[in-house]
Amino acid sequence: MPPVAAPLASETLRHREARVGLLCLAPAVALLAIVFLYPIVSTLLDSVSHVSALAGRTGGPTAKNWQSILSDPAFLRGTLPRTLFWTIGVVSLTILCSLPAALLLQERFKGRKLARTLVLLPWAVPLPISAIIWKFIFNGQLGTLNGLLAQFGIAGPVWLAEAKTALPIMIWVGVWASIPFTTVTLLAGLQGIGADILEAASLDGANGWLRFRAIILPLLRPVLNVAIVLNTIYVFNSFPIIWVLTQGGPANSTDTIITSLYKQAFRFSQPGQAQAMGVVSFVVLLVFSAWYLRLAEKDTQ
Amino acid sequence: MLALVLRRLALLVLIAVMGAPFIVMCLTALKPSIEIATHPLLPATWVWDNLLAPWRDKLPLFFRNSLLLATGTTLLNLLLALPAAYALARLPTPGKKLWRQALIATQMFSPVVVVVSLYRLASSARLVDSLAGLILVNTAYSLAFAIWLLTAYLAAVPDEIEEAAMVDGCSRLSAFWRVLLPVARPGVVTTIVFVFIGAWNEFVIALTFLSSEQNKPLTVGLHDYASAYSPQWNLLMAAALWAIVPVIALFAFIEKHLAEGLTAGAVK
Repeated sequence: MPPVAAPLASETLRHREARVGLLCLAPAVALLAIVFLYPIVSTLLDSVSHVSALAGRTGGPTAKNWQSILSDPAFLRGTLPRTLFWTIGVVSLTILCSLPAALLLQERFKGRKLARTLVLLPWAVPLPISAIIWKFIFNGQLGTLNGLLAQFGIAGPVWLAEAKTALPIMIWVGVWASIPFTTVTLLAGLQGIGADILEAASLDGANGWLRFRAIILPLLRPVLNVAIVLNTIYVFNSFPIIWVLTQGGPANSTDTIITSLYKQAFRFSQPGQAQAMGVVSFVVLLVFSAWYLRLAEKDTQ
Repeated sequence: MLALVLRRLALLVLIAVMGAPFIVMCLTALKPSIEIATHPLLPATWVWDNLLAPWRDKLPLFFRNSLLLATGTTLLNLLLALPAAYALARLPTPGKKLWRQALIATQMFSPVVVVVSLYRLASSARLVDSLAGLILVNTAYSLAFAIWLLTAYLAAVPDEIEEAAMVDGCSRLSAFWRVLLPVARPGVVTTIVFVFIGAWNEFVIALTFLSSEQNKPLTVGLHDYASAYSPQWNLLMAAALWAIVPVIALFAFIEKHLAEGLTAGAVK
């Protein structure tokens, strides 16, 4: 490539640079196309075909997969509403905890840097590892929680083996795991508002809550929206926490669409039904993504 | 005054809750087996050798695999993301807006939704029980984010700096290597750390693709062990401690840039 272009040749140079640009993009786009487009198309086709784990699709189109998941009360009245409950529960509790956390970490005090690091640290830890530790804490015989309860003479239940305690615990671990990301995002948003405005609206004094609602919350709204949408997507997609803690048990009482589709595919050898559930998740994610894109567009304007 | 005390107290509670699992992990790792049921918090006898025990077992294998997986993903990712980001940040590439939107769209996606199709794709390419297959999928899933972050950093470099280098006789490529990249270094480092941590932490694809123990990374290896009938929790916690050391170290290294990275594309 010539070092400097003559001014007259600038039009052809521009053309050539545009071609170089596409060439630079090509390898990345090729990998993305193979790893994203092919599986999406394949999932859609599978959901309306007879699928076997080994041979793939066989025969013509069929509604069998959809019929079986849509006529299954465990899916319709169990997994689907539970997925909704799990997602809304984790996201709303996460926001409820992260907003005050971000406000506390925004203040100026000695050791603020360390405090921030400690709160954000769990973000870097692999989710399955964190979940393994929580699984131990809630272990019925050896776990930390029951060990502490025993010192007060209380015999704790086998937390993760009972439906009515397993789901709340799962939600708690989901919230714990989502707080760091959400808090960082909100902290970044607070920094964007600027120290002087925050100082003026400092939570000190009798009407701190009023100041928070009247000044900080409206200014933080765009960032808060983004945090809500991204969390909704992450939590809906969540797999490691549920898989490590309960694998959807006991008796499928903690399954979400995601773990349910995983089990259909790799445990019960029903890839067709798994793919139909994949399509349901895909549609849900498309709606969330459209919501996110609209927010992002509005934000850049 | 009371309000201040309450706020500091709330902060302490927050830190304690977020850190609780890691404290439990460390304390359990240092306990003899018989104390696990009887001593919920501090051990009566501190067994420091527990920390070394996993290294005499399968930890070296899992650790090596995680290291290969994360390093391979990071290298392949940079190889693809740097030119792509350059095209989006500094060249008159047609359709920039469209490419960017397509990239955001892929970020919304989780591999678990299409895991059945991914598994079949990988097995038809004979990449199912290998780190190479995992590296390809991990790269694809972290690529959009890397391109996004690098584009922002490369676009922030003033045009004059690159032009000056090219006037001085540098080709575009050498201006990129010798001028642009060094200036955008913080961005490149942040990207590397994010991609590395993401690959180190990945779970569902590794769980699905890998069948032979020889290939398993830490996340899957420790999960398998934790799902066994009655795991040795103290040794498992010691292994967990080692599994998170590298990511914690990297995290501390880029903490300053964490907010920019996490919110790249989110808060513009």
